[in-house]
Amino acid sequence: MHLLNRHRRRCIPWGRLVIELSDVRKTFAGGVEALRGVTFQVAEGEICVLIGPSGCGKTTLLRLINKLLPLTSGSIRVAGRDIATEDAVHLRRRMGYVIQQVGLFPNMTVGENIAVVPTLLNWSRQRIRRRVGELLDLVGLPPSSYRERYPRELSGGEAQRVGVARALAADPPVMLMDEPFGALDPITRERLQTEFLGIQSQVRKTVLVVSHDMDEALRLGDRIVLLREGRVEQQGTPEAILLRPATPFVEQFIGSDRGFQQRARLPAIQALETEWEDSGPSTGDALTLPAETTVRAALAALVERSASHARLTDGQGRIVGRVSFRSLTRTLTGAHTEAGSTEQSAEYQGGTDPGGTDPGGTDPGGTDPGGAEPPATPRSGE
Amino acid sequence: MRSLVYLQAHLGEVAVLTVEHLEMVAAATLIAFVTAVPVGVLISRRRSWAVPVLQLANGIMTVPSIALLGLLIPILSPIGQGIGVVPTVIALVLYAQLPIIRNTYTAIVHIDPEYREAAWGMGMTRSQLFWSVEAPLALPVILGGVRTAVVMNIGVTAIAAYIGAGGLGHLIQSGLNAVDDAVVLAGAMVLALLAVTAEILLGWLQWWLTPVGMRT
Repeated sequence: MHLLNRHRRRCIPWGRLVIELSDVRKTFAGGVEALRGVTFQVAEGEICVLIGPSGCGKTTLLRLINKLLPLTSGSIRVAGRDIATEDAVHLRRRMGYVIQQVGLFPNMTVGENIAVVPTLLNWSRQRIRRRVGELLDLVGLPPSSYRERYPRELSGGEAQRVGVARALAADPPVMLMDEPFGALDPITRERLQTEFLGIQSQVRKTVLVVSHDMDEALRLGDRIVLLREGRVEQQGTPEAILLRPATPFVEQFIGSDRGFQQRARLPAIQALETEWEDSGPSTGDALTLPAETTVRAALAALVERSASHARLTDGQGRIVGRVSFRSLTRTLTGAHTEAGSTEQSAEYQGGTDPGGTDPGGTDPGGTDPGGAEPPATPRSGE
Repeated sequence: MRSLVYLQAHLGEVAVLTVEHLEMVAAATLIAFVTAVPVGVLISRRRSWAVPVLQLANGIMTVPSIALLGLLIPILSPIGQGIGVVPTVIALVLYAQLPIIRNTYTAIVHIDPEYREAAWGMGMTRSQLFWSVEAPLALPVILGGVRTAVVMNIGVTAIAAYIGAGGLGHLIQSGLNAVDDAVVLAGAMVLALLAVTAEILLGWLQWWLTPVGMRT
């Protein structure tokens, strides 16, 4: 649903500004100028991605907003109030903070980790317990089996979900996320990004995400602020940045293989099979995916489940169509019309994406799925 | 063999000496814990103090126990405690400083910065960070220092018999005076047994006090 929601959200007239930075400068003790006058705003309920090469000052900027670092000059306002006048501890408790290393406390269970801020805020035991349950459900980890686990018993993806749940615990209006999905493998990262968009469509936080990955920025961002050497190089919607890069640097940063990357992020609904008829019971075991699943994620799902095709359903659970390996790989390689050309599959194998392909484009689950578990005996579901 | 016979014959006496011995070690460990841990925490906050403090504690460790006990005689004599239990416990407390300070300092300094970043970022105060994150994460390592100190001090206490502090050193001392190897050996055996037992029990305690999620 996230794509639809994102578009709907963009149609809302410019909302209340929640984070306002004005000519923010930060010079470190050694004289290093990390930020040289940064000005931008984040509106209520939007995801703003702060992106740039390492050393551009993006993490510093995030840490200035929750007062982990003192400002050199300029001003930062959060929810209309200058943070210089606010108590750092109270400010931070109103902002969820997610870091790349997650930082779950190893001496506490998952439940206790999520309960940290509510406990600091003196919530009652029952209220904390209820909230932890809600949040674990929200991030897709069943409370019955995860609440009592310890961080070392979690996979990277699970830990990162708990990190997000922990940041959301006291329902802060603002979320600051520093490379939240950076340490994960590409498939898990993409899955978590999709899930995060789903969560965001429910919780509608004002989110500032730091990233160095343009794909992530395009995927998550309602708006993108590109930093370079402590200054804003360009800011705007993902479309604007992608279609109208302001400088050669932006163009270079977006990357040359953008076409392929972009197509991988297309919703799978654009890869529907044309000649498809619901053959009823014979396809009963097919995978069902939400319509907004990306091409990349749909391929990964097919590989994982050793399925040859998947049905796409809309928000009401109605089946809107069917995708297969063939239709997905065609979309991915940009070959919507002509299929079966050899250079097409060669290009695909050179890519980083999971999913099978073969020169004929008919056999599901052909080559190694690159990280996901290999498909079992291929079925020719047609 | 004669040593075992001796022990069997003087069981009551040996038991009393063992209890004396343990009382001194326990009292000293308790005092050392409440003094050395705060010092270790302090120098982990003010790193520039760490080197001089650790060097001082190291210096104390290098003073031979018999010399330290001798040194305390003139210092404590004016208050009538030149010999006996008081100087012994003071010496033990001094010796225990290094392992406990060093382990506390090391444990806190080596806590992964990601936990502090997360804790600060969530709005913990300094003391909340200490009590709910730093202390539990550092505790196992601090207890390792306590363990080292206890085992070492069980040995040091044996020397204290020379200043009339009692304990198992008394057994060894009287064996030496009477030129009776069996008694000396009996004292040494009980002492060794005590040290090994303390090591094992404190190992269990250390494991038991390690937060469940961090046990190996």
